[in-house]
Amino acid sequence: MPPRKRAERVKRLWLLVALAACAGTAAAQAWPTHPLRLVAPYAAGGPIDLSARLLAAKLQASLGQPVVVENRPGAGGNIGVDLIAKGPADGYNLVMSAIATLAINPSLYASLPYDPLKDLRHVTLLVQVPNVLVVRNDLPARSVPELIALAKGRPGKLDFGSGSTGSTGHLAGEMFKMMTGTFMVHIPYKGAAPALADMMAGRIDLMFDNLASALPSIRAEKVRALATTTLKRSSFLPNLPTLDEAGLKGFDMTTWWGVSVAAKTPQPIVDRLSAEILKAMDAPDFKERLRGMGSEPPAIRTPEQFSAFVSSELRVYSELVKRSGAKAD
Amino acid sequence: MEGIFHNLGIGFVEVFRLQDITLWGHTLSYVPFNILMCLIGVFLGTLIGVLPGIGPVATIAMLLPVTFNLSPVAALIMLAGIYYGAQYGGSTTAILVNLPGESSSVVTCLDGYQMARQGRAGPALATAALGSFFAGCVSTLIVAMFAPPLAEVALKFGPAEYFSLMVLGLVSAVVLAHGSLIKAIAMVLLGLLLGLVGTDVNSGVLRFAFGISELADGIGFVTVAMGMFGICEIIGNLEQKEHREVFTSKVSHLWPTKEDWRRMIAPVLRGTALGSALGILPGGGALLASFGAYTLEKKVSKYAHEFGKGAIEGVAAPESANNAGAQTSFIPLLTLGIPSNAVMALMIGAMMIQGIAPGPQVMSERPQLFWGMIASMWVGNLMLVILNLPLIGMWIKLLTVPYRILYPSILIFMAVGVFSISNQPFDCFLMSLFGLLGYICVKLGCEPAPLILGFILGPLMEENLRRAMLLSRGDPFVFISPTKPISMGFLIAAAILLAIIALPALRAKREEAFAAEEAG
Amino acid sequence: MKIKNPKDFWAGLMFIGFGLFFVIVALGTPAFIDKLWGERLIPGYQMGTAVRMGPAYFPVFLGALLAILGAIIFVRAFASKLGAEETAVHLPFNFLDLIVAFVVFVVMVELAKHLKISNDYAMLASAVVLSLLAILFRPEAKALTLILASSLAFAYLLKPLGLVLASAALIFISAFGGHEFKWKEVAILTVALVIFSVVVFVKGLTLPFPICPDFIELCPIR
Repeated sequence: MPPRKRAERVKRLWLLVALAACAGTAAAQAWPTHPLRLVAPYAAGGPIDLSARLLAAKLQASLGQPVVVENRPGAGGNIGVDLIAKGPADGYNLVMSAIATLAINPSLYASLPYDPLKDLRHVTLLVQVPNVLVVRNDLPARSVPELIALAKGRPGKLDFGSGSTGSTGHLAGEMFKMMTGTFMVHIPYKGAAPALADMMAGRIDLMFDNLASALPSIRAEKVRALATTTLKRSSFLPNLPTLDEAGLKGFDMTTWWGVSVAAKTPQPIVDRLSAEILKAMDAPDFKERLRGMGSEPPAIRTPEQFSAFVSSELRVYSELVKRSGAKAD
Repeated sequence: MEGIFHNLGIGFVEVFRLQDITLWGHTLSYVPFNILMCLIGVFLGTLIGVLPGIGPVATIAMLLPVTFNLSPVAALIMLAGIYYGAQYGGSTTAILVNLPGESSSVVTCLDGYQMARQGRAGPALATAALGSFFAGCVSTLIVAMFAPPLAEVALKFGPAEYFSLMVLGLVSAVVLAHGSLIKAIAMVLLGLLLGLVGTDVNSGVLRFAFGISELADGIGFVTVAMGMFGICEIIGNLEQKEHREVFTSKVSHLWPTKEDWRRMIAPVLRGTALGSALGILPGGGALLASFGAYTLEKKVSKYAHEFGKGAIEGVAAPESANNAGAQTSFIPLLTLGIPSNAVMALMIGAMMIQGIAPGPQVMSERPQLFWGMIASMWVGNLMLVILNLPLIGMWIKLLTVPYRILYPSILIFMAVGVFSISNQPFDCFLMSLFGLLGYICVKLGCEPAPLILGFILGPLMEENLRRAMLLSRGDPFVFISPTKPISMGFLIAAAILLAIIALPALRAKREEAFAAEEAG
Repeated sequence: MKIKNPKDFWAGLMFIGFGLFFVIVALGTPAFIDKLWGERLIPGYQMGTAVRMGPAYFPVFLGALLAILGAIIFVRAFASKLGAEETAVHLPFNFLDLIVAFVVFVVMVELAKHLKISNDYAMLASAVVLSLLAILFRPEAKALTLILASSLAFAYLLKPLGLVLASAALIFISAFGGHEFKWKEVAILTVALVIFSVVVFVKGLTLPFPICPDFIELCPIR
């Protein structure tokens, strides 16, 4: 091709690229033009659903478009997440993704209809709650070392409860057993509340519960807290040591959830979403309400950090689930 | 004693407190805001209770954002009002169109709907409202006086006790049927099995789902109830050869007769007692209350032969029981911070968002909240009675609408309600399937009510059985061990009840056999 | 042996069927059937022990019990002493019809998979086909089929066509299943119910239903 014509062609190409980028940003700036859908893949009323509704209310105010929360319960959250993963990548379809659906279920379930890393774009981490190791009041163990000694002395006699098979409470217990070389029997319940109730009544010995649900009982001295499962101490219970401090080096488990969209959602929209959600999270009243759930503002802010976090969690939990032998279907 | 009055005083003062409200920039003074919230709550609750399929859980979840801007007391009063308002509304649909709004209204369908067909919808609705009101008052008083010790009793119920209670409940479910005993037991078993569809709590395995992801969380109660009670009933009505109106236009009274009043008193008392006792049990207590009360009535009443055909006791007892249960199910929430059911879990969420940690300390740290809620329960019940009684006239008028106009309307409400469970068409498909199953069963002489009760109890029974076995490390005698007197007591009661049921049936068979011998 | 009690006969069979179904799905197919089939036909779940009951324990036990009760009822059908009126079965369709219905559904679902369109259309098509079959060949089953079909129509038309058209479908189809069908009446009823539904369900309770089909622009909600 004669050089002049080639230069023209290249220029035209660059123009097209520039136009596309503008169109992309224009679309992003036009977005949102109609209501958004935020899928909460759980039944109404749980902490994830509650925070979804809080977020929806705030986003509605700042985006000027209604944000409708849609409950799509089922299969530990997989159904709702799959809906968005396979749905239109236009920035109008969001989902509350959580540790269960992104990090645990891929190894817990024999087959998952979506790939948490390839089919989804992770926008913002909303809530990160530590778990707490709580024991019943009569248990003759007032610290983690005492508990380990007790468990070693009575192999198979201690019961630990959890909210469901494959939940963070269950897996935290399995991790504890593996790291300390003890054997305790896992008793699954339908939710953390009945497990906590049975523990207060003395029917089970210990459990790893998330901070929000255990805090009232701890404060009322109905159960005894021994340690938290994060590397850093919780500001709600500053005197409580962490499992890491108590000898289980590197023990760091939290329950977390956030907002994700379909993988092919355009970058400008993802950036704007992220900015809006962060703005909502930084609002003092929102922070207050999330504190009521035991959450402290996560250090992870950007979509890139969130994605990296999801990858590392996925690695950790694949390993853990495999070694513990937990399985669903 | 003075402590109670003092506390109730705090409560009522809080409920009737006049506040300054800022609405759209204007400030209104001396508004009894909490009462207003109570009114809105019970009104909404009644409305959604009347609409089949849409329950208090979904409504409360949708209204949670509204509560963010309210004070904690106002928010909880409104949400609580929705909850027990829905009980009132649910019994209305159960009586008028054989659709149980809530699982605890299933039993009311049995006699209430028959009463409506006989032109006695008015007395049925009035009985339900007044029985519920009485039960509400009494149980609120119980909550006020005995909340902490009752909560301790509730804690004593472990998996073994729950299992035994459910066995007793299942045996009672068999009593509900008025046909063949063995077919009733078979229906209960079928219901138990159908309830197992879904994810198994103990192992996480997905059972009987055949790869259908919508079944991962099991079949919903609403789906089964709408199918087997609603659709089945409509089809049955349409199949009548003679074009007879379903509800006789000969409406006798709007109000219970003197005879009705006399017959209502004892069932209401018994139902209230049973409901208050069973309601405190987290996990299925209030459910068992309504059909436990029905069974009890059927066994002790001298009008037992009328049960299933429109006996007023069959409405009075379960309605009182389920309202008493609804009030006392707040006890685990308010005293221990443990939710008894999905609605309570939502209330906990609402409290946490308001920054209140639910638990034993709420009573001491926030007496206005605690006692205000209790006082509001009484006020709410009063409002519901005042709201519902005049509506009876309206409902009666509604029943005079020709059935060909009525039934498509019922169908729409059912379809919308069932669809909104998870916004999927699949649930409506299931409802149709259950409609077909119910239709076939009725034609074959099997009743749907025992199936539904088995359906509700099945998963609970299995969960508790397996958990009890896990905790006892495989000892099957844990249920009748002397260290668990409550569990043993329930199982003995179940055995006795079974004997009481089986003996007349056996005796009838023997008489039949003798008669045949003598004749042939 | 004469069947003295058809109700018990069929009820017994139904219960035996259900009982066996649950037992087999929970336990898995027995070895000889697997050998015939070539591979494990139905995997089944773990039984576990009495201590650690597996997911199959309860269903197998209950299913077996149900099958036994079904058998008792079945046997009783031959020895019953009740009158013919009480025991006659008045089903407007027979067993073969149920199998036909099942086959129609399966065929439609396979067709949808083959044509790569959504399952929803398969369900709608099945409902239409079965309704027509019922009207033509089993007029006694008209009410049953049309009522069931109407709720299927509503459910599977809601997302594509919106609340207005889906409700209209439900009302028309179900009205057709009744004793009389007056066009004006049904039309007025439709309008009234649609308005009520939109106001109460969509606006009042904020249920996320589309009101109008996608191709009509003038709707307040998507």
